[in-house]
Amino acid sequence: MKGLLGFGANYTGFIFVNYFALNMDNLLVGRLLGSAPLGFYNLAYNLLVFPSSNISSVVGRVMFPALSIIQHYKQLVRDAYTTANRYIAAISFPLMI
Amino acid sequence: MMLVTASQLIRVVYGPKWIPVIPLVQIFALAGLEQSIGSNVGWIFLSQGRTDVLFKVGIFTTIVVVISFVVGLRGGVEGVVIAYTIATYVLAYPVFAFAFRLIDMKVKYFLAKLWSVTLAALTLGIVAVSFRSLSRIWG
Repeated sequence: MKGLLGFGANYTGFIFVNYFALNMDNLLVGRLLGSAPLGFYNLAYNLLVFPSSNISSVVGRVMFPALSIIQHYKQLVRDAYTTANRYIAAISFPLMI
Repeated sequence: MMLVTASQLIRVVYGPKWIPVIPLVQIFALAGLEQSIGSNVGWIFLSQGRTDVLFKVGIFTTIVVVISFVVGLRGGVEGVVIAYTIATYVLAYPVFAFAFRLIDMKVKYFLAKLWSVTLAALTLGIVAVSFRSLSRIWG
């Protein structure tokens, strides 16, 4: 129980902190540079950065439980992790280049 | 294809009003390239039950990213995009190292596994650019 609480508290902390990293750009660009630059910034961001980090959370719904089951078998984790990343890169790298 | 075709893509899909977005898209394409792989390290922290490390890494990366925004603002919106992209690559190695240590994996080993895919993507980019330049010369 204590372990679960710690896991949750730390994850909540991460989500909270990460929120700043994800939103500070919009705040600063919008406030200091104006709404037209913010519009340009957002279009570029939504075309590239947002989808590429979103792949992670979608595939993560499968990878989190799968890697958790084999968490003590490090060799299996390494293999599964590198294979999944290769498949993602095979799609995302040519898309981005 | 985003980096190589940004100029045509934005003009055709969004129209001439959005031309200032083209350089932003080209720079962000490089950030997106890293993040499509870099943001997956979250799976390791979660599945190893080490959200404590994830929290600390998150604090560290957030500080660096916010500093990059503030520094980049001097160069306008392009400055912000460039600074953010640089921050993404500067953070890549330490974040990989923190995550991979939990599963006893070297960053070098992981990058080597991605080498063939990277080479294929680079080849595609070079071929696309060469064809375009050739068609300009002969067209």
